[in-house]
Amino acid sequence: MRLFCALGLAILIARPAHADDPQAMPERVVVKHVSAKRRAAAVALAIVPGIVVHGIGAWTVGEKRAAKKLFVGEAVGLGVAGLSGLLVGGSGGNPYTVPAVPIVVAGSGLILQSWIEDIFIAAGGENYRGQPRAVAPWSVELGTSWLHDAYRERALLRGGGHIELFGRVVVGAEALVDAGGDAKIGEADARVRILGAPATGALIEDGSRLTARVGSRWHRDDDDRVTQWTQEIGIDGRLDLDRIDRAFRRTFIEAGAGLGIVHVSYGDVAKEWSSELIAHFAWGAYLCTRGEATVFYEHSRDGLVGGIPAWRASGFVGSVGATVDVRVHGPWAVRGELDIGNAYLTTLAVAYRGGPQ
Amino acid sequence: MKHLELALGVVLLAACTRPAEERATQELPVGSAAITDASVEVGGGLAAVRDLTDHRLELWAQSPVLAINLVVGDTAGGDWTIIVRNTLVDAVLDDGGTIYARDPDQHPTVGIFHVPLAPGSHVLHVAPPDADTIEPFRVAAMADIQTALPEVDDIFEMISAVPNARFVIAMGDITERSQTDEYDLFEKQLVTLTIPFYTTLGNHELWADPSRFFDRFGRASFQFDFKGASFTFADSGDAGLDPLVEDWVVDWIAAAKNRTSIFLTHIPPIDPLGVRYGGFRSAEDGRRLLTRLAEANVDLTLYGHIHTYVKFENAGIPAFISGGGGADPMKWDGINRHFLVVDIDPAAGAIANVDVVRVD
Repeated sequence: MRLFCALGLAILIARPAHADDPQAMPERVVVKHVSAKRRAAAVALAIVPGIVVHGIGAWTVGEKRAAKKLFVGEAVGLGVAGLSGLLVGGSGGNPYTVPAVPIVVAGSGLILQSWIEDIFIAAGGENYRGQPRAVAPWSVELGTSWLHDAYRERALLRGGGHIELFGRVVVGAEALVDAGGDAKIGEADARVRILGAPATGALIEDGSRLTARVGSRWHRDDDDRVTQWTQEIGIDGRLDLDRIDRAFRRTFIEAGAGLGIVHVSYGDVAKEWSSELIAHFAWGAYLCTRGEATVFYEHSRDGLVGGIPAWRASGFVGSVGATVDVRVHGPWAVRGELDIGNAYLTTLAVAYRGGPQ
Repeated sequence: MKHLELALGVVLLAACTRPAEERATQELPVGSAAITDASVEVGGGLAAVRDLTDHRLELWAQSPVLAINLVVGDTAGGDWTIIVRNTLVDAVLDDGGTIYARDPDQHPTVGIFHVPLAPGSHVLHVAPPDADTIEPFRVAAMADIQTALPEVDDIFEMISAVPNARFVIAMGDITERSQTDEYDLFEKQLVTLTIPFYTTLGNHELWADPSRFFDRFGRASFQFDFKGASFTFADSGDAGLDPLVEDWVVDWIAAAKNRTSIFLTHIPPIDPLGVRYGGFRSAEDGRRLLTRLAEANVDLTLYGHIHTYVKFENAGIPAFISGGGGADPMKWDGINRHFLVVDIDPAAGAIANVDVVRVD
């Protein structure tokens, strides 16, 4: 565990791979000329058999060094997920081994992240421009979500925002209300920046960051007659991948883990305490200077979407999804999100981001 | 290619929010069958019809009490042989007040009755004489046999030796891969059990066509009453209840609100160790179900899936996870194969006691 922490910190503290090579700064993108035919073949190969041997796509378009790193990423992911999975699964889910679950998730994340990165490179993703932007110093957002599950359809109105305080703390809050009045969710959190750029909203060279988070969420569902009040603590990190290789520039990976305690009221009949595990990972790309897109996995089953009905693995896996967050005009941004688990949750929101434009 | 098929399968299933919908509808015709000059319908779908041929009906009971609606055509009147497998040792057949005893020298759970039936409609009741007498009784409970099918007979022998145990209630995962030869072996092993075995299915019964379960044993979601207590079984094989099943369960437990009520399903709605996520795939759905169970005054919930023994409470209802049927056991938990002995006192409207019996 210490080794992983040390490795993670070393990567975060390390300078980007292009730092000593002015020719390779993100704005100076050298477009590789790869024929459309080769590009299509690379994408196909990156998907299959690339799902098994990561790096094939990058290798096909001539990014051999990146290909090797992707393969190593996959191997490390397999090793980490395999060993920790063996511990948890081999013990039959003994409570003493449950702390290893976030490591299983992180290892699985590395496997999937390196696969997606390979497809991205094969598709010519390294030729697109993109630059990270620091979190805005303040923001307000209004939007709507549509929840479709086996039991009901729900339209939710949502509104929230965040503001930076004391230079290192970002405090946020959000409320969701069922348009039919049957469900209400309120949440608030504070994120303390440990590493990474301050919340200025400015364009930055490196979007890597490490934050600690404490949060609280209250969820009342009148139909279900269930009220849940959750207190969470966790840590989240983002790593810009050009720290690993120039070919990975404009992309990043995220991972996070934490714990929550949940106080549940079952109608007027009973109350009890439960716990939740927070573990997630994501792969993302910066979209020019306007925003970013991610695909993600969330291990928790305590949210609105639950876990995917995954055939024989039902109950063991969480939800997947994708987000897009783009500034469309000055401070105005649009955010879209799709979560797929036991339910679908689609979100569309308009945000006003404060700070430099 | 296999990886691609697997990935495609997972994606297609992920696109579905009701993976158990088809399976729930498959349960509806269980207990019904017809031939040219006869038809049968078992009340509540509480038995699988294994054979309906000329003057012969064979059932596998999923309840200690059966109401069999048998319509005999003009050409089908005469002496019928009615075989009820997985029935209580002292069950008799009652045809409108006429009691028929079972053939002697059969296995204790096999009731063979010879009944003269005139053309027309008959309601045959198969039950022990004390089925409606409200008094304390005892059952055994277990789950998760899976790979231990070859040696489960020693658990069955120990259960058979439990004094006054009337039947076994089980929380699923009787097979590892839902293969036909596993079901055959399971039935062969049941020969060592001298009391009936009523079970729902688990996720391991979904490795192959679930109709293998329905055709042999009957419904996976069902309810029966015995001596003033209600037993409600629910199919949670996909780590959740289909809305259809949830509706059945809500109606059943509401009807049992003033009786001693026991609820069984394979996967716990909420894992008592929340962070492990060994429960339903949606905690919200799990908590909704628990609210319904608590509001309906359910007295006891029994689960399997996690291969250990845990005593806890969910929504204030006493709960047990008993995954000790022999499947790959949890390590370092101090318990291996085991089963539960549940003493029920319907007159007091309570569960008198739940004991764990270690096999290994």
